[in-house]
Amino acid sequence: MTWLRPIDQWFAEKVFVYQNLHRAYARRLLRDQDEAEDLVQEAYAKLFRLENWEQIANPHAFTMRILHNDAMERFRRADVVSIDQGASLHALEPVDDEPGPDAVVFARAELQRVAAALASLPDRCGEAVRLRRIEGLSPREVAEKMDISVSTVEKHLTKGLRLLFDRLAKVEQAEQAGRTQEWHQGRRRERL
Amino acid sequence: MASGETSREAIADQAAEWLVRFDAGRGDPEAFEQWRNADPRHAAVFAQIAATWQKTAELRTGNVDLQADTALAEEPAAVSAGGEPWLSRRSAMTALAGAAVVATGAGALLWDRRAYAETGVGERRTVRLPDGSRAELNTDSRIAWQLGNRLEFWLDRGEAAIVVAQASRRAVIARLASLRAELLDGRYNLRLQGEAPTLVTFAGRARVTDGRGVVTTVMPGHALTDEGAGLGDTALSPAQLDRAGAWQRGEIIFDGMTLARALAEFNRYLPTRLELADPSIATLRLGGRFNTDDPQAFLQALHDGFGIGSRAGEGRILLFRKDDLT
Repeated sequence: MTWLRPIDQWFAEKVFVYQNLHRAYARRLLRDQDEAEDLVQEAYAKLFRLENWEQIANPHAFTMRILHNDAMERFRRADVVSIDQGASLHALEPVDDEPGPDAVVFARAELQRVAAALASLPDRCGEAVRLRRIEGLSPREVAEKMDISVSTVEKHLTKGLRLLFDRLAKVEQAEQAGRTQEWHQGRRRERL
Repeated sequence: MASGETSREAIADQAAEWLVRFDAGRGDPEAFEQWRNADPRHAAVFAQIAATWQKTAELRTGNVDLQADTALAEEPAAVSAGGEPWLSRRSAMTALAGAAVVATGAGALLWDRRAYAETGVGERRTVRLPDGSRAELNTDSRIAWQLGNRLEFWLDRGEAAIVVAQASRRAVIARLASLRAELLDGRYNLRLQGEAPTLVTFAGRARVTDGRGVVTTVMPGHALTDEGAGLGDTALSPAQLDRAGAWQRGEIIFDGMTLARALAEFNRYLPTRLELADPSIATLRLGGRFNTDDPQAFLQALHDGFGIGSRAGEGRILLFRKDDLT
């Protein structure tokens, strides 16, 4: 037994790589950022209740379908319903049989965002993550290099991972595009 | 939604702590199982944290092109030039990498350049490392390396057989997951399953340091694994050693393992996965020797020996019990 399971890997490659699309869709459905995040997290949790996850032909489309159905459900249960929201829910029905978005493009875009988020971590915290993950040093070697205890390294890593996770979830689509652009240009200038 | 917010944050905190604890080799698998199974949200958030963690290591070998503003727009063309337009992420990255060895493009970031080599699903490839050592990569694998006053290499994914050259006057350091292994002249097999590393010494000697600084010397005929709760050293029988190196001959050997595990092993080599349509046959135990590039012979053996039929599903092959035969 290892602590990373096949379903975790499957989720990372087939579902989570589209987390931006899921959030954007959830926001269009519910029009509330916090509720949208709830919807996304509940949909992901549903995937982890499935016995036959390996047999899902298009995991991304499947996730979009869960988001839509759960939003409809919330909508039905709500006491007060605005008519235009109901109409938009129907208009936002996902299309199940269209080919999925290009996984390569999304994986690469995600990686760009990770690079940007990593660069924005607090100094010591970012250094610990870089030494451990990119230099590939062991936690103990990181501790020696940074002249701190192993348990402090672990605290930095936990905090860094937590911040990365939040930042990757919270960046707005439009804002993100702008930022990545800016960042590219920044790097370019440095290279010239 | 304030309470929902709090618990979401708290779950993410716990998930990050679990992951870092396992990464340092001091996770408690039982306590983790309990936490993970307590709520499907725990499992889902942990998977998101783990995916984020994995992404950070992918930056290492520089699949990020920081110089091209138009990288996203150009991507699909580059992919279709490499073959099928709808490749899986991994095989498409292999297609992009093209030749065996590619200098990384992430030099603009804060870390050093490294060379790397990788294989797609079903591929096998031998790479000569700059100190004269040799690495043979199994299916869907990647190693990166850097030559200084010692040769350091990283197994990022999959499996590799390493022959450390006798002529090499440099120390050879292998890194996989949280392990650092100094390899003396000899022959080794390194494998990552998820984030769990295994090192087998066929000949030579490996001095392995784990995430907590515990040092173990892995002698010939021994295997060392770290499944997140500390190192385990096992002496392998000649038959087990033969199985560990069988992939280099293009073979896969089953030794009485369950069908579910056998399929997981075989699927590493197959672009079209074999899957069980019928969970009741998952625990069948089977033995035998097959070629990794010939799943048909395997399917035939399942059919003849166990009455298990197969049919093509959407992008996979489904296995089921042929009840009418019993």
